Amino acid sequence: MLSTISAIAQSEQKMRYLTGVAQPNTNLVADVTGTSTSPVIPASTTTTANLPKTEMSQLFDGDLWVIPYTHSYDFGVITTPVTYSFNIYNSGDTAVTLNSISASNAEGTVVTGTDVPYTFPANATRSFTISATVEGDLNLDGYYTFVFDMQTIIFAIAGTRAIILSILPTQNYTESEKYETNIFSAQDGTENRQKIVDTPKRFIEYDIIPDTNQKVELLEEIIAYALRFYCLQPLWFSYTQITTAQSAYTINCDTTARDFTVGGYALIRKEFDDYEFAVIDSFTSSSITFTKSVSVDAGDIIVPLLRCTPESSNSFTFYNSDVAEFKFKFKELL
Amino acid sequence: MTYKGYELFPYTPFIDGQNNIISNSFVEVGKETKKQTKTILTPTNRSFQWTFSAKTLTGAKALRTFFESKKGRLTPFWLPSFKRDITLIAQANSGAMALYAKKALRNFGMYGQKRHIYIPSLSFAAKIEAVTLIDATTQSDEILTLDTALTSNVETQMIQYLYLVRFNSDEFVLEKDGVRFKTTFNFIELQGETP
Repeated sequence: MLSTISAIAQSEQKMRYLTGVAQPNTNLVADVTGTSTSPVIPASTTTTANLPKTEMSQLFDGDLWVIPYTHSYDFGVITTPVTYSFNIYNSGDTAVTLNSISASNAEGTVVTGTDVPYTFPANATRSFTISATVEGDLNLDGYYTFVFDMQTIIFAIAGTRAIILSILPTQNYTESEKYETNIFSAQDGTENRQKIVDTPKRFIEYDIIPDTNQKVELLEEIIAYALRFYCLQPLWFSYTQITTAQSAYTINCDTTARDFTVGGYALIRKEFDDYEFAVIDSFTSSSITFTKSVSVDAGDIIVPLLRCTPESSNSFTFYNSDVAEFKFKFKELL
Repeated sequence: MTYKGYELFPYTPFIDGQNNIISNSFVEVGKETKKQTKTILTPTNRSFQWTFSAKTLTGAKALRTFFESKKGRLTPFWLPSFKRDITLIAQANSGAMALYAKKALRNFGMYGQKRHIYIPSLSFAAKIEAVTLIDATTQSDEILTLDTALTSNVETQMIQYLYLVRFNSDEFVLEKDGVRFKTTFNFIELQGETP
């Protein structure tokens, strides 16, 4: 997954190389100066509407084009269903067939626009929409492949569904885990015990007294969201602190006895409102390798995250207009 | 350490916050006529609520790992009493099968049996097969006959009882108490299953 996306990202501005078609020799767009081999077409001005058909045909070289001229989109933080629409334009003078549309690592997204196979008439445009829903991979990093007769268009999508409670607890912080056992006690004192679950469910409980109204507001918003969906709660006992600034896939830090898991999530935190979310690829006792490059400074902390839900009812009191006290109990979502 | 097929609980409890309970859910009959009798079907049971602490996260996670290895309430294990239960009045030599102990009416043990002893300093555990009172009326001693020969001379070592227990809760809670990590375990004795 990783290498494919990286390859796309590097060639983002040169879609035609990806499709295997030679670049035009001259720059046909009047408002672009210079003789770059890769014409930059401003998405806002270049549409099928404001160019004559003949020029369109010359400009687009007979190929299939994605308009606006980008073939990646970052949804950012996906807290509501979001969509991105783009057009595919057949600039050639013959019809081509869209044979298939396939998704890769794109859980929680769907592309709409046409059934396949679909025959693109000459000089025709069709609109496609990629919708991302709230449920799906926490780290959306995938792509759609549109396979035409002579050409393949790859459209990368990115985004995160990580809603993180990044504010430090104030007091009474506990981490617990719970098994379930069914016990039948006989009158002679012997027992018949059966386990009901194989892995324990984890719980996190704490009080938090945010000291600014920004934090109070943030907590309320996250809890409101988490009650509908989920949130990511740091396992604070397992935090590890960075001693030297690093920028790499692999970050050196002490992971001894901490609850990091391969494929699990981690929070790289500077401040409660300045942090990064990453997926753990592997780890040793002295380093963690993420699925992307991350940047840390000395003093930053890395802490594993648990996907969980708050209790169905959460109350808080406020002491003055800026300070409130919340009591939370989070339950792991298995 | 493993003894008679069960693991020994390896951690020492915190000295404060210890709570030992001895109980039996008997039924009172005949309260109205003031001629009460008790109907008791189960052996007298012990339960323990002990607090454990760890200075480091590694230590705290070791407690959790033990809890996880027992799957909460599912699997029994031995719990040492962590107190001096038997005081000897004479040295028992290596190879001996009996201990001469100060009298504590251990023959009543049949009602709430404590049949297994553990000497931590020798990693030695054995079952008491019989308790013989030399003289039941005077300040005298009693002879504890073991099923295993002693591996060393024993006189001043701490001799503890072993209880076959299971956790009495499916939940493990780790909290921070100042600079320490802290957890409370509930254990309940399994009299009916003790070998």
